[in-house]
Amino acid sequence: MLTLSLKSHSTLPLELSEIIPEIVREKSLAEVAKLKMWHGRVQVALAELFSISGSATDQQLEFSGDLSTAVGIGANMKSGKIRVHGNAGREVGLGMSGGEIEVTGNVGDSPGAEMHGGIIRVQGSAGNFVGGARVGSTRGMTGGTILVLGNARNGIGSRMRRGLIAVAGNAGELVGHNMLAGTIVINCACGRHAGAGMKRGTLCLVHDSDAQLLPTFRYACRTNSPMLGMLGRQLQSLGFENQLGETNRQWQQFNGDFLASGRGELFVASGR
Amino acid sequence: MIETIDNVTCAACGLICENVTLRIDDGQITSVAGACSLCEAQLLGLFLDDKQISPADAIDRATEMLASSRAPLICGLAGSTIETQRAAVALADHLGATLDPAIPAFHRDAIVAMQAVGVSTCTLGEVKQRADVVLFWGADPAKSHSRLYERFLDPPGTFVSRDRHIIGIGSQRNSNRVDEFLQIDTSETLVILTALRAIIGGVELSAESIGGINVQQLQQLASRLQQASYSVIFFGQEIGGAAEIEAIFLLVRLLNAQSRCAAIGLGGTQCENVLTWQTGYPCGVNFSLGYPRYDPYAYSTNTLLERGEVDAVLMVGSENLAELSTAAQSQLAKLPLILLENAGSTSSLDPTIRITTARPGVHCGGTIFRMDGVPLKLRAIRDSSLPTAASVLTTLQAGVCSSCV
Repeated sequence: MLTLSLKSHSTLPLELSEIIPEIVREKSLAEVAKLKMWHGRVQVALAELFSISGSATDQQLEFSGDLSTAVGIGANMKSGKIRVHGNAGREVGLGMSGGEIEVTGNVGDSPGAEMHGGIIRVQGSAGNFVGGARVGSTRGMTGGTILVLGNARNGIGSRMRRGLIAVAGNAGELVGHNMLAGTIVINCACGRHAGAGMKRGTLCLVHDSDAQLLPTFRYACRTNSPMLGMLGRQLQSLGFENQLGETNRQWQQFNGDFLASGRGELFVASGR
Repeated sequence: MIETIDNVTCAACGLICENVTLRIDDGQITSVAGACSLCEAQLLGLFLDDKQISPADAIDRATEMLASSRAPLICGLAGSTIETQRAAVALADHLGATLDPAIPAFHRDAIVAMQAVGVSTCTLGEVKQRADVVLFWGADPAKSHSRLYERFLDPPGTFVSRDRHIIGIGSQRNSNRVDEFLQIDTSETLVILTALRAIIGGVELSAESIGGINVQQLQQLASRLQQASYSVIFFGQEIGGAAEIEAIFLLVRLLNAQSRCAAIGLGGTQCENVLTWQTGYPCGVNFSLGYPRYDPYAYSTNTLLERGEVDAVLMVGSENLAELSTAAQSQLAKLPLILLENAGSTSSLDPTIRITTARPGVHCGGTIFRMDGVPLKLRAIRDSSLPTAASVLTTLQAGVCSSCV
């Protein structure tokens, strides 16, 4: 495992998108130390800002220190594992297609934006647009899994096309805004306007029996769909605690958004 | 000597009125006729041959400050001419700075919404000549664009056969003259817009009241918009969030299926045109990696200042300072700040280096984009010895380039 410890905290942005397992695995420690990274508008050697030890031949990287201004940790990675001890900035795992990222602290906006595969685990809270699309893009994440154990802010899964997002804490407004397909699970309170503009896809609001939905969502039925149990077991196998599979739990199913195509489904827990 | 100058163009708000009359008394503007209070506040008392001299070493110190910074920010530019905006882009490009214009939050959201779903819009000339139904949503033109009625809504339109019908929607009835007003809770804006789109789009609604508004009222509003030959929706400060503006643009798109409808943001002069043709992006452009990258929120002046992600700031004009959050303003006070300010401006800022520049439309000419995207010429009332903001930026760029070699 290659360990990179931040020497001193700086509020200026650090571009870490080049420091991913497939780039560093073939390099010696000396070569890794000389890798250039952007600190603001200046390029500096990695060793100037980080104490580096170990080896990345096993494709495992570990960052430590407050990296809340680091941009793009694990961006475009295809394999291997990155673990961040502490906070990470925005665009963690941007466009990644494989591998695993684990952050023990909080992450900034757009974690897993436009990702295609792999898994991101955030033990703290996440910013806006988890698994969403960058501004101007037509699609958010198209595959993979994002698990947030804390809260997440607005626009979770905005324009997402496929994949799974699960948030153990509270969610902000506009969950699944304009989503094309995919699955989002919110364990605690969910903000307003969930599913606005969704075409297809599935939203599960586990705790929120008082969800305020837009008027273009229609009540379909009470259900205990077996799909929810399967989803619950899948999340359980990934280490994400949930109550989706409880047999005595009843759900209300809504369809919408009928201003888009109305093929989205929204499950709201309706008590035990 | 007393002199009267007609047809002066004013750049105090997004309307760019071209028929202001100035009375000049011994080189000072002593009376402003045919203008609004914003224009008066900007021009009254201004000296045409302003001789405010910036410190001789100001440019050198500013160059040094920018060249030694790791993450500089160039902001402001609201109310700047095309020439100044171009010079700012060139400087940001050479410097590797972040460039973000000082636009109101709803203007930024409108840009994001436009990128997502597009927009059907029109010029104010079309509003005047064709619009038979005008809807103000969350906007207060009497305060922000006080001559809008006088110049574009009150005169009869060539292609408007009946009286123009004006509708207001917002949190409270303001002094704007409207034929009907719908008071809403602004936190319900998206819900109400969704319901309106559903009514017009033929999607069945089961509730009797949506967002605190009776569905019948919404149906009446929808049918008023549908029956219009040419409706125009002006939206403003009360609209919060790209999702809401996106819903307005989609409502406009739906209305266009039957007749003509357009949306216009009631904001200030535009900066996004120059930024887009120069960099590919309308706001929040970062050049630190040597090529332009875009994020309207992460690279916004507010976010960068709040998070401490910049170490030097070059502000071109102090317009829209109130748009910055308290945290951003207090951070701004701690950073090295170079302020290029038009003569006669009275901002509360205390910059490290202040450079007084010629005011476009008074001391120098230029071209400026009106709020509907129409470029208009400003002419100098009298040439001044003050440097233009564009020339200062170009000098700074030359200085930064030479210090790199």
